[in-house]
Amino acid sequence: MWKFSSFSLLVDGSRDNFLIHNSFMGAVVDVPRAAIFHRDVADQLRNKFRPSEIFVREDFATREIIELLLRNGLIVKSGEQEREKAIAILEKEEDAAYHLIILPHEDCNFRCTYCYETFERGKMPPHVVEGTKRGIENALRGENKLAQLNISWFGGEPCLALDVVDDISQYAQKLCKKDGVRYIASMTTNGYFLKEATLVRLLANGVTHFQVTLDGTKETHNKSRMLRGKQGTFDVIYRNLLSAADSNHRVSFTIRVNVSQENYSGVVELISLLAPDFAEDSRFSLDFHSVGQWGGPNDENLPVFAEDRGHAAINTLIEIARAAGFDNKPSKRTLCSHGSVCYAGKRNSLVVGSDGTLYKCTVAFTDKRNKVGLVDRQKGFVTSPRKIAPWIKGSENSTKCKSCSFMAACRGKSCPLESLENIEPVCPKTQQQLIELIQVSASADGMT
Amino acid sequence: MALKFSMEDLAKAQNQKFEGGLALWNARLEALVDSGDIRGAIDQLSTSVMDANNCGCNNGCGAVQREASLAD
Repeated sequence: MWKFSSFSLLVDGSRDNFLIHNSFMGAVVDVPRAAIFHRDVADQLRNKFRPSEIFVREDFATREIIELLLRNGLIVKSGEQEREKAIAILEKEEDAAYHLIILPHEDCNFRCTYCYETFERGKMPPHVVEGTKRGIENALRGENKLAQLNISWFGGEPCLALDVVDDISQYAQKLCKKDGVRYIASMTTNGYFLKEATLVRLLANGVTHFQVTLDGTKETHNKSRMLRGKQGTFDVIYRNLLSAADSNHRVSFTIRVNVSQENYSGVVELISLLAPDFAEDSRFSLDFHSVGQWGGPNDENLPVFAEDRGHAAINTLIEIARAAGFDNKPSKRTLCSHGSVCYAGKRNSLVVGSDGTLYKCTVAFTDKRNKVGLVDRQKGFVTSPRKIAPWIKGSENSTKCKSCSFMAACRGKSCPLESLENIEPVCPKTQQQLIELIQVSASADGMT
Repeated sequence: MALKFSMEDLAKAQNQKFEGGLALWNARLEALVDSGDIRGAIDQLSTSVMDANNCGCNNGCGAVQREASLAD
């Protein structure tokens, strides 16, 4: 006897087909409608929240389709305590990695119109650098054997403190090599300083993934992402991206594009501009985000989308980008296990501020609840378990998460900051938004 | 559950294209097949190098807006 995985959700495809998504497997399966014989069962599978089990009869669909669903983990044995086992696996996976988001410099050479950072703190001083190294050493030598250390360089602008990046990276890489721990590092940078020599230097530091932002073509980008002196930045960033594309470096880039009502048409033009240079290069992908009022001084003047219109605009851009030849890795990733969990919700994740303050979240730097510890030169990371607890609580006590098909992707921790104010965790997507993302992601794979 | 499948089964599942139906993608099976063992799959699945994202997190949840309103 079999039952549908409680992480499976059925949505309509655009042809005569169904798409079945499973958040634990990170899978989408394409099934012709004609191959499903029990539509009432299919209808039950359409609901994201499913308090009761849905059993699979042998005549539910063709034998091939049932086998397809079984092999991909979309149906499981009916006696299986699937939810409990899946949660245990997800927790084991989460605990296998230690994730640090390090801010080596909290000032920036840019002054983007929507930025929420205050730029009050500068470069990380030597005593914080030393304390960060102690913290990394303690994490690697702790009770739980780690499989992976993941460092994300963030800011301000991390390239303003490359010597700090060198120092901590070299130390961490050495320790990881000695302890047999996988080391991966990424950097969120404005891309202005990312010329070939800097890229080579960062690659030597193990930084193999970069996120760089372009907000449209030159004209629209330069209106929102300017230097402190208001000069445009597009040409320099684009030249640096082209240089990386021309190299053989084993590196990947997410080009983040912030989308507002004002720059939307410029973003469509940007996709056309980028396509000949980057679309065929699997090292580059595009990631679209609708601009929000993020707490910066210009919030009132930002032409942001209403929430649902923002989602619709992003989905359209994903389809346009896919048609232009870009892979849609970022949107697919949000549909996979852990893919919609914020780093702030992970037990083994900390943000290291340049002044030695330890945070959980990279947004709420002024919120007292977010200041969860300090870097100590001798002791490393000194944290308060009491202050960390509310950030990592997730779905344990949530009624809705227990019956939600998307739980393996977000685990009730899509935004711990917002959830601090609520009894139930905040959902990353409405059911309709989830359905549309599954449809768009499947469509982007050229199958629906 | 899928983690109990043999590697042969997993490879088959990843590549299967039955008449009329197919898996568009399956990240967990792909991680298992690519890495060859569960330890490797955990490495691949546990964290993403794309976790950190500037000007708000990946999820577009509205928390930053909320934070801004709390600060007012």
